[in-house]
Amino acid sequence: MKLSVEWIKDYVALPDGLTSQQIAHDLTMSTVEVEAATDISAALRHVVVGRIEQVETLDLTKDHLMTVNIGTASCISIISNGQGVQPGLDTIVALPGAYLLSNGRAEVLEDRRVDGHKSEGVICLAEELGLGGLLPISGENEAVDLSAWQAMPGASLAELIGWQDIVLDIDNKSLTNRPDLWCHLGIARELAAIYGVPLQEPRLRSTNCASAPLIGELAQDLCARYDALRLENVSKGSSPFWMRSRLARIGQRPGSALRDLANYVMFDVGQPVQIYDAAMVSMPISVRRGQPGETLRLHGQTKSAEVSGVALVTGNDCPVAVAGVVSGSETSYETDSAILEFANYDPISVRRSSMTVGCRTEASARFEKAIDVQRVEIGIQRFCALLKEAVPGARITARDGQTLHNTMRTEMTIDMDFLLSRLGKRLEVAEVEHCLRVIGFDVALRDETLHVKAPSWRSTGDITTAYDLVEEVARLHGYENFNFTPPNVTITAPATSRHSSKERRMLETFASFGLQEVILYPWVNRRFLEASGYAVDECSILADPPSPEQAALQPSLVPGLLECIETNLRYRDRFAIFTCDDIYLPQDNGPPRQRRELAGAFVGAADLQGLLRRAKGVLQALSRNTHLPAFTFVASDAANAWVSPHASMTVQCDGDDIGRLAVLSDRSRGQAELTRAEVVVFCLNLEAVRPYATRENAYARPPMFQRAQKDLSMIFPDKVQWADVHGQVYGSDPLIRDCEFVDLYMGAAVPADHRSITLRLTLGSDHETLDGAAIEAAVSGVISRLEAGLGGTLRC
Amino acid sequence: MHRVRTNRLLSLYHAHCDIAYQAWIFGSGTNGHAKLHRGQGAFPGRTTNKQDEDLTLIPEINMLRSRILDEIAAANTAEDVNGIRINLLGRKGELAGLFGRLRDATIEDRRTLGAAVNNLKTQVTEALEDRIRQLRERERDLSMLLDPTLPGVAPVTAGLHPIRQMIHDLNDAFVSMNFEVYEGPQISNEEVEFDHMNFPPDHPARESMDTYWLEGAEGARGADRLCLRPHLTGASARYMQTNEPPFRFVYPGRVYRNESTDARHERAFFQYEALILDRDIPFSTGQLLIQTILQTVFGRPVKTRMRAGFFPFVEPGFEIDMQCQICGGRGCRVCKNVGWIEIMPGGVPHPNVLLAAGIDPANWMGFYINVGLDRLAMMRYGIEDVRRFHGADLRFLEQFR
Repeated sequence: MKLSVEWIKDYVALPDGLTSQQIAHDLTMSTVEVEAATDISAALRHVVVGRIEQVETLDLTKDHLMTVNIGTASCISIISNGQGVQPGLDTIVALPGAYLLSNGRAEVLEDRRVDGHKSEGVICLAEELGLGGLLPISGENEAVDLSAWQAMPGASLAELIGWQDIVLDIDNKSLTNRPDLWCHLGIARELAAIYGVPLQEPRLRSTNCASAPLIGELAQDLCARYDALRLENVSKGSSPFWMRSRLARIGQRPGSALRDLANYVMFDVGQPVQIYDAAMVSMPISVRRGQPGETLRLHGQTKSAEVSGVALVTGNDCPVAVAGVVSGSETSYETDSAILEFANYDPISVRRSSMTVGCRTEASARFEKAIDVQRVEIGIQRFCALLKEAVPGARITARDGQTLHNTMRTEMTIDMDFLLSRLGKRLEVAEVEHCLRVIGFDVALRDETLHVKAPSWRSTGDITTAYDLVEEVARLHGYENFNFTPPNVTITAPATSRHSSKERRMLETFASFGLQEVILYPWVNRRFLEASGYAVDECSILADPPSPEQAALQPSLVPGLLECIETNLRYRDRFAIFTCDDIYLPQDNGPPRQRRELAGAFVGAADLQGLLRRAKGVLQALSRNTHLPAFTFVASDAANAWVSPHASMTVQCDGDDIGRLAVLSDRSRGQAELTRAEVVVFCLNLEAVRPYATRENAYARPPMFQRAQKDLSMIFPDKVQWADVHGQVYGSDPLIRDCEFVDLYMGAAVPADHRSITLRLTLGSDHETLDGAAIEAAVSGVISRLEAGLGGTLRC
Repeated sequence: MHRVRTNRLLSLYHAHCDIAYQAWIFGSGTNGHAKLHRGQGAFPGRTTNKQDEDLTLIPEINMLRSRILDEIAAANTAEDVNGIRINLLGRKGELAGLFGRLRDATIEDRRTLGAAVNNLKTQVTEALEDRIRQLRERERDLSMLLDPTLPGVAPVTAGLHPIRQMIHDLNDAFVSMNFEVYEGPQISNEEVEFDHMNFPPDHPARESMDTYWLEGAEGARGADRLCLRPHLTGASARYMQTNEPPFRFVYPGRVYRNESTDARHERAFFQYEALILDRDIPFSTGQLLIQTILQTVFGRPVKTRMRAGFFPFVEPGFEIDMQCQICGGRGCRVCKNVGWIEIMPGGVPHPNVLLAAGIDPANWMGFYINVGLDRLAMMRYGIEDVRRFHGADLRFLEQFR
């Protein structure tokens, strides 16, 4: 919303020397966010009144060479192709350095030469300065005629047309809760309070014309008050220039006198005014909801809109406007007789109507914020006060009004202790009272309690309780005047969150093990969803998704991971990633089940065995690093389509299945277009893993006697698994203290269908240090058992 | 110390070649012996007084001294030095042999020779100790190994997502002040996100969130109208419903808005919420929450200001600005020449929000803030496009450790 400071000054005498930046800062700190405070005269720098002295046509180009008086010692020359610019015309001359609009962009004017003649400026059109509709034009051509001002050549245009003004641009979002601020009077009231200067109330005038039955039935839920004025003898002329100028400064294109006045009243005191052509609207006027199938062609539209259920203004039951939003096209003002509507509509119905017909207007923006009903009267009286000057000759010939209810002023009490404890600062009662009074509240102090009555314009939902008064006092006292207050808190226990600390330890462990965390959208691309074996109709669906392909919310983290792998395979061929997020599992009743999962992938160009073992190693170490019971791994069937039927393991913790570790199936690899990489994927259900309540560590006394280690490589048929080997060795001899896997080898010197396993034995006794012979005997025993039990042969 | 010892050893080495010195040894009595022993290598200025030709063992002792000292000087390991010690001083060592031969000498010679052998023993023992000490302090010359510009062998580690890092840092800061870390569900509903948050029905602010509604909720209202959470504040009420005040908690999480994306707008982004509720928390206490966040992220105190702002769930509500970190508040393009950047909303929980959570607003006061982490991370690291956070591009993510 734009506001003119010059206009605001009608209502408040701002302190001398106040800069526009200071006004913007003070309003921003205490009331609403001022996005910009613009000195609009800057846009008209180097633009002056010029009097055309002489016009001569150039032979070659047929352009005109004009001699123009701009108040300097000698006239300047301007080349123009404009037709019919006559000597004697006072018009606008832009000199080098001026800004001119061209295709919506401001460009700086420079000296130029045309056909060998120097052009020292341009005769500029109103549109080129963003002043379209404001200034009168001369005859058929579009040059501006400034004769009415009788200005001296060279006079500044900005000064001439009231453009020496500051325009405040206020962020509408910061105004949603303050319907009273959607006008110059409202902001002036705030500034008066901020600077401690009196507010000058607007000049009002009541009408004493005869009452006539203009209004029929008003739907009580849609309309709190409706007043109509009949106006005759409405001239087609313009409103006074100061009014047009003010409207133009705040971005409104001036129009006919009556329309300007209606607009002016709205921006002045915040009451929307609707104009109907009296010839097009039959009496009585009513407000009701649209019937099923009812349509209305809206102003500026070519097609009729469905208005069933929408709040409508009707003339003799014929829809003429969407109440509080926009009039119908047939009711636009054409003749010299008009009906003026000053109404108060229900904010919710205006908002719904506006959304239904897809139209937002200055009026609907105000109504939907909930304007007080009493404002209707101020609107009418302000209109009447300005009518004579704005629309000379017009007469109000009839008036009718119905008030169904007024805005009840909110009353509340506030305890001084309550107020001061929330402010955290001791303020005197007098200051509190003053803060509230200057913005229109009635305040009385009885027994340390303030009895407060809010003004009607703050009583439409904005101020409802004593808590709202804390803000009013604090902001007017100035937020910058409150110092930090250290908290006074009660501590009863340490702040712990087992859930989040478990997750955090896991994430940090994965990162330290070389997996990069990625964060993915919760909606997944259909291609990767299906590649992972899920169907869209098994998923929770977004009603209005980012794209039709991304409607499903993830039922697993795997589809997102596959997409991420595809993205990164463009840049590299090996990497490890993980992600942690909720998955969504639709249920028959109620919202989808949301479960925390953690999934990751190891991607490489080859060595699937290595990828699988690396992934398993990370998961095994994870349980230890995160204080979980050790994970175990059991070969399993391919329960999901993304799991290879031949290389899949169920991950178990404390006897529960908590996830899966598998080679990505060829089917998924193909559908996700990842065939040039080998991929191992794991996913864990974080809700199924329960960390120990505290650290769990098992202590064993270090051995008294030196232990020995011996490596052994043996070749086994490839059906022999490591667990078989370990089972044969460990526990078979009290001297064998440990049996670790070292390496697996398939290749030269190992027969087909066989593999070589290297293991490391740790040997020791609790009674003595073993000598060479004892060690050799134990190792020989191991070899014999592996030969006899598993068909192993020693690899030389 | 090192220098002194070296000098001393060198002087010993010279000493055994020095004729004058030898002469002194031959004729020296116990006085001279004592002097040499304690003399830190400074030779007593004695001259020869007597030379006894009958003392045939003397040259042998001298040769032995010369050989042993050479061997000690040439020994390169502690083991070598020990071997020399055993050969010389052991039970069957050369010195024991010499002592054995003294029995054949006259009493007078025995005294002289005994002194000479003892002297040798002392000298050699000292040289052995010095050599051991010297070897212990010796450093191998590894200069040819060193290229300080060679990169180290990197351990295989990766990183957490930059936003996750920020969340962890902020959690650490708040947990240190006894704030609990809370998490709520990502799929929520209209009742929690709007009704409990004091958004009037059909209020424009409901629309400003551009919520992602779930299919199947058309026409539904309240708890049945499901959505991806458009902000975290709704779930703060869930926490308040299930916990008794006083409490302090933070709530990190991702929220969703249905809007078109560009370098500054994203459909999924992170917020960080902090709420403190106790008996006596005036709004100016909120500075603690604000400063904790900014100081954790920027590593230094950041100047802030609180100004009037409207959010349905707080009263009073604030827009919190921080001094522009690019220009230090002087005004620049980033802060649109005002010196301040809007960084987070905050305020006192609205009484209706507390009532919706079953908390009596007359008895409890608090402060709440909610900051967008993506934007903070962008400012902190100079990231130009918010979409990078969800882009899953490892070339981006790996830069944050």
